Amino acid sequence: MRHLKILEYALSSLLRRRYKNLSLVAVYAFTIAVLASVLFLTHALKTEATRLLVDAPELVVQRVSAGRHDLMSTESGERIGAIPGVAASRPRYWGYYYDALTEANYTLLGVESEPAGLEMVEGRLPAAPGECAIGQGVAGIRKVGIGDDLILIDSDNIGTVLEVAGVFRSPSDLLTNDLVVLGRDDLIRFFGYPPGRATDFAVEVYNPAEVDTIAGKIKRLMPDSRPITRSEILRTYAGVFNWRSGMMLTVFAAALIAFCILAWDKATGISAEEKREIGILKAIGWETSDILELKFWEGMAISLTSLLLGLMAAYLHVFFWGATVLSPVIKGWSVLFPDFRLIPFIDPYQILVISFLTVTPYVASTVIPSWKAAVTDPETAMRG
Amino acid sequence: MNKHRFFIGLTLLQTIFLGLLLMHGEARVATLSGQQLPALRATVRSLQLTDLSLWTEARYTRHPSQADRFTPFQDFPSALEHFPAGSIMAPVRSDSSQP
Amino acid sequence: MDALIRTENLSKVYNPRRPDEFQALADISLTVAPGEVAVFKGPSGSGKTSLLSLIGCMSRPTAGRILVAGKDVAKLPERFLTRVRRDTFGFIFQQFNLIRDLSVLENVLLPLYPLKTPLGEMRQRGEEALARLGIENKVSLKVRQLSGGEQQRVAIARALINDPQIVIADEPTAHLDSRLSADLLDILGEINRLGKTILIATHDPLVYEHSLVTRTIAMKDGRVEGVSQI
Repeated sequence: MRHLKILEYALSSLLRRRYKNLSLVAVYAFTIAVLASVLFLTHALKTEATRLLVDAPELVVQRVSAGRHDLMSTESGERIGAIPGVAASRPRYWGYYYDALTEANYTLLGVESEPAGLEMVEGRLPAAPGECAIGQGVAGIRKVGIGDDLILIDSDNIGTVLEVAGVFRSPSDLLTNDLVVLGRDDLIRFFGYPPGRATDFAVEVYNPAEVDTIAGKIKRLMPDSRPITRSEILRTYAGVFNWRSGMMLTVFAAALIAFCILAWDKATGISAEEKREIGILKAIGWETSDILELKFWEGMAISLTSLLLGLMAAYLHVFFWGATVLSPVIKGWSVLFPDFRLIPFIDPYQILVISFLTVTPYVASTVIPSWKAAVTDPETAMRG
Repeated sequence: MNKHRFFIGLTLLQTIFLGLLLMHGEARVATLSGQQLPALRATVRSLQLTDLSLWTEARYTRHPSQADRFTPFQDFPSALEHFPAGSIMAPVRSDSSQP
Repeated sequence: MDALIRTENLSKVYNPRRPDEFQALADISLTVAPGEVAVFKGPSGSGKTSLLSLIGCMSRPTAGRILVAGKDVAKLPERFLTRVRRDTFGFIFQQFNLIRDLSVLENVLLPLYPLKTPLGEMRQRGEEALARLGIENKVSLKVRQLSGGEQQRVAIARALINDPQIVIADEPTAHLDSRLSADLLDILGEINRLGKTILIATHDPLVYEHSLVTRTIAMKDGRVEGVSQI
């Protein structure tokens, strides 16, 4: 009961400077919302990436020539296929296309002529020459749909007309937003690939535990090759939004500096009026512990309210509103960028850390400066 | 003299709402993991995809897992850094057996 | 009758061993009996406020003893000193020392927040205390909206809310005109009739020449010059 009464007085005390304290809550909640949004977004993206890309090719073998990624001969693919432990070695055909009309980059992908149907395609994948399936981003920016024609300029500067046979559904945007999937022969013709060349090879192994050994064998067999394992692919995405990356460091540093300024302002001594007030409370019989409890509740009321509001706002922003505030910042110069319709993977540890890092320092910076006044005798405190 | 009741009530309400949001999230994860994830994984498998379609500004931002360490620097000497993609993707990490 | 308050060779030095060291009290020995109205009279700087501060357990002496109801308070640890202060004394400060942006009721109830009294009972006691002083209709107003005389009544109500044995008033008529001063002295008289001991520091003749005063202690330069019993 005593504690509730001290809380009551703490709230009365905060309401005396109503607008200042409400503004403080608003600003603090906003800061927490921004930080939490970044953490929620990056965690959800990373988790989704690692869950999706577990089905990426076990091993991708590229050829590097004069320091650049170069095409590989189909004969190299056969040599890879002959290595013991290799179950299959399939050529991949893909590349980039710069669309001058929209200033966007697309990724063109060539598939086998008889692909199995995919749930994530509305319509179908290309089954005949002159057909394509496109991602939502491409459909949107070129304003084409199923049955429409998509015209791209090939390597001979000739317009190629492709009929849109399918459009990838929105839930797959993170994977397919900028894709244009053609038949393999169409792609080879489009890019003007010399005969017997592929972009790279996707390799399947019998025993997943041997993938590194086989990568080593491929490297020894073809010194100009660069094998990339699935685990490397997954590690790339585990490393996205790493705290050491420039963007995250800037955001966190800015938040930390803002917080330090706030804490320093509070911690470098309380005002004369506050000291006097503490002196009055002591004079009329409040003990030191009562006064510290009062300051604790004052700090807790502000920081806990800000924390809850900030977390709610961050969650709604990222998982209900597609991170509309953050995505223009993260998008950078990309013309095509997927809408965030993320699966709400949350790391409870992150919430705990945010809670601890926002509430504890604020409460400490409210209680600690009052300590000295709280232990001073009332006469001295009231004199100021 | 009822400010403490109001505050406690408000805090409880916020906590419950946050809890509901998180529970809703958990439920969505379960549903989508059952519904969407298998279809998305099938897409990855079928098309042999290796990267997310996020930043489409440059080769190394579109396919970071396929890019080499020096790829960002090789476009041409005065190539502009792609921000923020370049500052978000950490350098590609590879096995120690790789060069 | 046993003295309620006794001081023995009491001294107080402010800022000891510093350039602004100042001896406020030197070698004060006096007694106050229960139920007395004792006035400490003297010019500014004579040490009246410092002495009342020490007796009221608001600071500690540099030397000497203070016994309140037989307890040596000078030696008590902080926590127990606070409790003695809270349970035994009610203070009416010269500057009132009210919290201006709080309501009248919240100010009066300030001493009760850290105690076990339930909120409902607290409210009732506060309203009764204000009614006894004739300002029950100002309960919800902020203190800064009151006149000087009304503010002093709030300060008195706050001092009495814990039903203390001893009431200390420091220059209570400093901000009042003669009519309000007379009202104040009537109130103090009523309080005294309830059995409370009253200590007043003043240099106002209206106070120290009033009939309710039972003992006058004259002070100058930190020392007692004379004590007269009425």
